[in-house]
Amino acid sequence: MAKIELVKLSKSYGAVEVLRDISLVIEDGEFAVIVGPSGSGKSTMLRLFSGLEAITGGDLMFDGERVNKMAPVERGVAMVFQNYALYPHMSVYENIAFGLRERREPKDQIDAKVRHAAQILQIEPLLQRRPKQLSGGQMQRVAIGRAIVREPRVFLFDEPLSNLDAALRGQMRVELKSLHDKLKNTMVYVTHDQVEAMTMADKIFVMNNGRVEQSGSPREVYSRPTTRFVAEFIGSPKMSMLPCHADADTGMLRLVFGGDQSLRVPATSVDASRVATLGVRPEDWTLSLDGPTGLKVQIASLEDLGNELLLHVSSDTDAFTLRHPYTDAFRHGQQLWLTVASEAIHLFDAEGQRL
Amino acid sequence: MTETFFNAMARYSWRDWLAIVFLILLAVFVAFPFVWMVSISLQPGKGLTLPPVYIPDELSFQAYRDLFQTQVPFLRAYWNSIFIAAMTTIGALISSALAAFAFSRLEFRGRSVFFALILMSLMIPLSFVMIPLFFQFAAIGLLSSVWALILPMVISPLGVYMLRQFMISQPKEYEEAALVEGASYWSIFRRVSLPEMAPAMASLAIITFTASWNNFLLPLVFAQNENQTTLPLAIFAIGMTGNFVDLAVLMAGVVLSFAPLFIVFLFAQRFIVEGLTNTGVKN
Ligand SMILES: Nc1ncnc2c1ncn2[C@@H]1O[C@H](COP(=O)(O)OP(=O)(O)OP(=O)(O)O)[C@@H](O)[C@H]1O
Ligand SMILES: [Mg+2]
Repeated sequence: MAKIELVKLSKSYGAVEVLRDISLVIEDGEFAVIVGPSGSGKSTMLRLFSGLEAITGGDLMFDGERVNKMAPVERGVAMVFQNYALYPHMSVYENIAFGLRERREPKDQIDAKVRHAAQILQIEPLLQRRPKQLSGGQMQRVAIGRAIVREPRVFLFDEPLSNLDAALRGQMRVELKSLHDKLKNTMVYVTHDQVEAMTMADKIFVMNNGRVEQSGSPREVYSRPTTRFVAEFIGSPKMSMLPCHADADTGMLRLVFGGDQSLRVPATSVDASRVATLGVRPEDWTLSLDGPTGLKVQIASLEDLGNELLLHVSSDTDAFTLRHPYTDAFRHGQQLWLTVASEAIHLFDAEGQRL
Repeated sequence: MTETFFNAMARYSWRDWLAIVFLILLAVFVAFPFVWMVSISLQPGKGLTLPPVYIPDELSFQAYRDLFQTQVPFLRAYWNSIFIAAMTTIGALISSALAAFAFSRLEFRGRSVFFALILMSLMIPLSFVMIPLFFQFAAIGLLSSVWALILPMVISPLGVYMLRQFMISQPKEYEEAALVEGASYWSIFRRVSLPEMAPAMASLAIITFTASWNNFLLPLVFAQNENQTTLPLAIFAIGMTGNFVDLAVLMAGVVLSFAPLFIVFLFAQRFIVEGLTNTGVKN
């Protein structure tokens, strides 16, 4: 078990800086999810943790001990790769036992550990098979088995579910989470899938372009995104982002959009002159078929998901998506007036910082 | 019977048939000199006849008996060739695999420069370095040993290149996973990379064994004594003995010298196919 601490950690390949001045703490026993778009540096971060890649700036600490120069094996980490990397010429049993054999543990002890892991992961009948005789989900379990027998301080997962189909992904999400509850190790999990991040994490780190844009509990990150990037990246469908400017108006804030539409919201302590964007979650809009108060939009298309509707609407200048519990009240082409409660608005300045 | 035959026929389109006919013709064309060679060796005293007689009226193995009665130590040469080719192949496999592992999986200063140097040495023909090699081996006193015919071929730039290219086409996560699991570099090489390279090594083994088996120039220049005589030298010598040589005896020598290659090919081919179907990553 380990607490992981990054102090101004950075990584460059030659002149290319891939990670920049990252400082963060992952508490002992936490399930930390690093989420971000492709190329944001997530895998690079894991590879620095594992020691597969050399750190070029700052410090990496495990339990207060600087591990920058430590060899991978001394760090006590186990890593599950995106493509699983099971040794093709070894049986499942030998794959799982590999690390223990390298440590020259006694044979009966290895056997007990391998069988115990196989039991936890329900892969006992597969132990004598070769990797090529396994399905994607089974390979996944073997890769996790190979990690848990070593009883590492830290588990590192690099997009472990991205090769599985949707149903299996949902199932493995739950299983990984309950594995964490059972083992209580520190786990660092990389994904570009914000659903995985929201559902599994104790703590989310949202990465963008080599930086951590925001960290916090899934709830915090969802309900109080500190930047426009995070607001748009977390949540599906995306938060609507409406360019606007604002006037202070007798204790209220008047947001003016393109096409001279405006929306009055109770003033918070916001500096009106800096407002550049209004963000609202798709489910936070209040929809009305009667005007004229609110932002006027037209329904461009409807998606019926069974329990709820996705309404793709367009105002004079913007197009975005609304979410509403199922009703048959809406038609394609209808006009709607939208209002929003003050606690559901997210205002961002021109640089994309939350106001 | 007939039904399965027609079922099999139905599986092929006319394009397939065209390809099959072409391949059969090609096979006949390639096999022709070999068949001729065997048939001459079975007809002592007849020599070269035109048109060729492919199926002799009467079979005689006299030429194979005569082969071992000549002045030339054929059996000795045979054994030397096997030993030299086997040692060269083992040596080239080991050295190439080690070098390929380093060039594809380890990071070290000057890696690309060293690799470029190895590639450049591919362009230097053996005949260029023959004389310096000769003096080197003479200086270390190995010239009259069979090792003088093995050691120059044990380092194989082609082998390093082949295996390294193979390795960089394989995911490096295998080795990375092993590293994280605490395996030493030696252990990673032996337990992970080496089995991974097996199919490429099988091809390299064929190439190296064949090249060594057929090598004429090196033993011609280096061989000092009977201990160093190889098959190509022996066959050459049989051709040179006296002014009358029965062609059948010569061909019998060629047939016998061809047999081991045939066996190596059969063995390695199966191994390659097996290796290609092994995979432990999901894409
Ligand atoms: N060996 C390398 N040399 C140079 N640049 C690299 C190297 N490895 C990664 N990069 C760059 O570092 C950046 C981050 O890469 P990384 O693999 O960490 O992204 P990622 O967030 O894991 O993306 P993905 O979701 O696609 O896996 C990318 O722009 C990539 O091009
Ligand atoms: Mg990645």
